[in-house]
Amino acid sequence: MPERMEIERRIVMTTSAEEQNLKDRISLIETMIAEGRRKTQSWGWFFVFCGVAYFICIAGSVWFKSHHSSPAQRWMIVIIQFLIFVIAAVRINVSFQKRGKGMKWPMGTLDRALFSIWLSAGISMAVLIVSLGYGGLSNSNLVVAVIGTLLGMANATSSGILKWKLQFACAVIWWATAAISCLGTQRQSFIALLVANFFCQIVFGVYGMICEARELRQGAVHA
Amino acid sequence: MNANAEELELKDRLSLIETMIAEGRRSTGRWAWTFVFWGVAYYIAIGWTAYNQWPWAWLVTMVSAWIPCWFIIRRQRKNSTNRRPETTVGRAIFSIWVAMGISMSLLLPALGFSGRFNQHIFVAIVAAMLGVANGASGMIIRWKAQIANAMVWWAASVAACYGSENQCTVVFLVAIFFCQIVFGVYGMICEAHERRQDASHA
Repeated sequence: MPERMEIERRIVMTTSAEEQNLKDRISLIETMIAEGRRKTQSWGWFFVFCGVAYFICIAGSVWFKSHHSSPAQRWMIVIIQFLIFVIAAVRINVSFQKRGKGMKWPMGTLDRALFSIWLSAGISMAVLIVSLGYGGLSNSNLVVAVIGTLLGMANATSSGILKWKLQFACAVIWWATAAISCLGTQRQSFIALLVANFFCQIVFGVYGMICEARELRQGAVHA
Repeated sequence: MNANAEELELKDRLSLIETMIAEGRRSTGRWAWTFVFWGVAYYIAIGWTAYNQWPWAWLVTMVSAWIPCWFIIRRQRKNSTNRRPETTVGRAIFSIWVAMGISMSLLLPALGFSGRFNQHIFVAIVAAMLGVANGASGMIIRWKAQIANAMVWWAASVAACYGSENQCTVVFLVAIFFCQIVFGVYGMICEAHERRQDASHA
């Protein structure tokens, strides 16, 4: 009888240890998700930066149009202009993260997932827009449709990973822009791009920055 | 003592993350048949379009292919003896392919309805989107074969913008063969190999 009790006690102990192990793993995964969302928020300024860069690139493309350059040259210049902005922004962000006390930047699974998605979307966008331009297939409606679809895809994927509904709303806005661009006139497509850029880059980026500031303040209070 | 405990915890976390990545790669291997399946579906759609130039051939083929694919996935899930909990890597890869599906099924019909469509644009867009999905998946699970797959799709996207319609079709056919059929078969072989290894370990 004592032997049976001993076995039962061991079974209970093993089960509770397994349960504890599972709880630990779940808690670790949840922390990683929260960390990933915090990382996206700390990239809030990057969304705003890209939003402003898009506006500058759009203005640049309109300016180049009035200076007799071909559509291919125009889009090439716009893409190069945007790439310079993005590289500069990434460099600034990395140096800030390195300088910040206790803010190290290891590449976790979530970080790598988010980084991979945005990098792949960026490569595809650059490859597609430049090739369409040089192949003589490009027009402004098509370019806006491509940009809207790829940004919608990247935002939707990030929102799926981070379980962040607001980012999914941004994806829906980008997809709607792509649809309007296909079905509407050039003017409607242009307005849709400006509106989507304002809401999904500037407003969403500022919201991310506010969330980050609030969390930092809360962290400081708890500390 | 404290440093040792921290080191041990770090090692545990690292091992968990590595397990998650390996699990992600294994689950991609389990889905390798879908690459072959969709590769064949693309060939059917291309053949049908070439045969009678019916504009709805692609849409009908894709929808028809989706129905058996969905049934097979459901059956696969029901028959699965070792159901594993969802991992972050698994969710990331799932999100990528779902977002790609939504984007493609939104953009291509919209371009078709608006009359802004031609063979070059179609191939360039499809190849670029498959490049995004394969590139992101490959980088997440650190699988060089899938990253190479993405590069082939990006190269196809560039090539599709130049040359004649026939050349564009050839580029698409070659990309489908390597990136869907060959890569899918390779994934299935890898999966079978791992399953055999698991069985021998057990």
